[in-house]
Amino acid sequence: VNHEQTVQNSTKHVSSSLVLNHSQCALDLHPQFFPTHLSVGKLRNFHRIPLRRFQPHEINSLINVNSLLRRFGKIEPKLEFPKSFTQQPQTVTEFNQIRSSSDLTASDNCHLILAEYSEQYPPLMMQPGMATRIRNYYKKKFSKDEGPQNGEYGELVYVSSSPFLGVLKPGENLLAFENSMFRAPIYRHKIPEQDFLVVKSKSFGYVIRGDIRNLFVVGQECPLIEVPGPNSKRSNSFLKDFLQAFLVRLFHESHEVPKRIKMEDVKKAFPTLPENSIRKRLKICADFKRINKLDANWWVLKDDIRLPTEEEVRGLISPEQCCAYYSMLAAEQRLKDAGYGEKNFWASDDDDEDNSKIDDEVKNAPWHTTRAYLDAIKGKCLLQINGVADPTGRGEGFSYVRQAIKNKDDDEKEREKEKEKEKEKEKLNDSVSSPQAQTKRTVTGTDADLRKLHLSQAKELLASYGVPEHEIKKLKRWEIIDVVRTMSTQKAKEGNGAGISKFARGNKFSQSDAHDKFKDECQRIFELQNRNLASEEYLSTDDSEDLEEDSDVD
Amino acid sequence: MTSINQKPSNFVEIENQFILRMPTIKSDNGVLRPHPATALLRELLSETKTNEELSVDPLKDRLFIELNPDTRKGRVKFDNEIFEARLVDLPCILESLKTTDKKVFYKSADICQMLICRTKDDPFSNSDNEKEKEKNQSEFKKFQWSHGLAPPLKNVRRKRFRKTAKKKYIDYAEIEK
Repeated sequence: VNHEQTVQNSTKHVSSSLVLNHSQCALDLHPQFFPTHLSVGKLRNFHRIPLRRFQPHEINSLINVNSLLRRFGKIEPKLEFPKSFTQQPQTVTEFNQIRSSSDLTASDNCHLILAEYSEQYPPLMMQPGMATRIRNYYKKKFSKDEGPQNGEYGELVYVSSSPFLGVLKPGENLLAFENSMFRAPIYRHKIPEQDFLVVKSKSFGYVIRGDIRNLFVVGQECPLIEVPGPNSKRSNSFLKDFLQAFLVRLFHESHEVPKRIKMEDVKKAFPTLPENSIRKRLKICADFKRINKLDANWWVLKDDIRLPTEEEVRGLISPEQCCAYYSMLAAEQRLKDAGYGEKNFWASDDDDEDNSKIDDEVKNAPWHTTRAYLDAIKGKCLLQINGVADPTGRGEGFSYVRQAIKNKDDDEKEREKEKEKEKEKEKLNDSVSSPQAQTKRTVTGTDADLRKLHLSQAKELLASYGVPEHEIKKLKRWEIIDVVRTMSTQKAKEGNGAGISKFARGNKFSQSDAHDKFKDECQRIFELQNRNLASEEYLSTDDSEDLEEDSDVD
Repeated sequence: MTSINQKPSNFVEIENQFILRMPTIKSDNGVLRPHPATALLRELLSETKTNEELSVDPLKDRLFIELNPDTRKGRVKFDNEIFEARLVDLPCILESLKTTDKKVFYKSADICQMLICRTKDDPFSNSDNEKEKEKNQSEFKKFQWSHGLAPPLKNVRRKRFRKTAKKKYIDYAEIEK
């Protein structure tokens, strides 16, 4: 378990005192930004929704394109967001005054960047209105090193150990997107000379911007939260909370006394939920009534029910949870479209042998990759690194799939086999009585048998190895024994484990070897990704292909 | 998106954003370079930032876009030049983010499409070979752009996206709807 600590330490990142606040519409889970339901079409075009909302007069007629000047008359040198945009409101009244979703427009004079995700299906994507920060991770060359000079973007963070799977060399820096969902290295590029951003809106028509020059390529995400699996407990309970939040907000919007809502509105927002379960929810807080004959059926809020406040609803579900949930839905749709049945959506976690029977596509699903990555960070497993879930499909990304490590059962089996062998040898030895047999002694029945090691003794051993007490307390018996074995093995290798080497199990495939290999591979991919995605070279080695591809344009 | 009947106060228009790519032309030595209109457009736009006296939009009655989202065909008119344009789907998820301090960024929108212009006499498209090729492409694939905007994402569809292993025969027509 030595390696667990290393992984943990190396991925610990410098925490910032700043809280990352989303814009108000994200905090509110504004239904236009955080839809309660995504249609199949929307899921298939997840974050790739084509241009829409064309007015009839817009189609097939020349529309004047304006610069920002048209809208503002005069352009202020620099736009500041209203305070409400970046700060949490202090009071409820303040909160009510803020409708800042229009602040998300790109047709004002704000500084704008573009981010292009290198992964086809990043496991976690922000909805509009959500915030991310850019960090500039830098590894100091010497203690008074003042950091990189290219610090236009991001807050500078000195790293002692890397927050990525690979480590930075002294003097190296790496920019990264960082939010509550993921951390991802980003690479600065220029937007091609011929490219302009055009913003199309009903209120302002077409607005073109020529001042956007920075384009960041986003490398493979390091997820910080788990995407729930389809029909998992987590996703079902999220949906329940989502419904709950929706109901409360719907009641809030009612101006009748007492407040009332219509089942149709709820059903429209959650078409996949059976009416039964919606009704069950509603019954707790409302009564079904026919108000008058014209618009008959209402659910009327009970007198004795206090409606939760906006803040309380906010505590119920977060924008991040919504994103994770959407990611699950989109991946589920992709799997269905690729012909995978619902039964195959889950890979078993406990039984590593089973892992190999699961389809590669399913291993790629975000509920598997995020889980595997997070487990690896916690030191619960190693990742394959090279393999089927590599999003680049050509060895330039990390495959977030659990490495099948020999688990305890395997160890037991192996031990059994060894015992058999020992016995056979003993039989031989009985007849030959070779002194060599003494060195290949069996541990069963001796005081070196790990299975008979008392917990208290094991704890003492760990303490003597210098493992802090609070760490030991967290471990269960088998984990403690595991640490004893690993550390003893290591000490024995180093040649200073006089009395304790009896617990060393050197003849097995060593976990620390596997871990070293894992670290090396991580570093290799880490450097490869950094090199490739930072490269400004427009490779022209495959011009023939390009011709073919470019012919897409006419 | 499904949402409840929004009250006007709560309703916001979500913007559409797209990339406009001005045409390239082939120089005498065969190298592709931006059409002169590109530089002019950029200059006009930068004027709005630098020239404080400016009160009339320098683009007024100069730049026009015509677009039919169904056929994905369009035209871009800049002064007296008219470029043929086509709306293509970008391969990578592209998002626009705004900031005041270059440290914290707010996502504005997803940008999924690019309007690509080309000159009518672009020598690139006129080879019969290419026209033939295009005919053979499905209507769907024709509008799938292969390249990201950034240099390392050139040919990203082919080179960087791992291929999905299909389980069985899929009705593509259904998917593409």
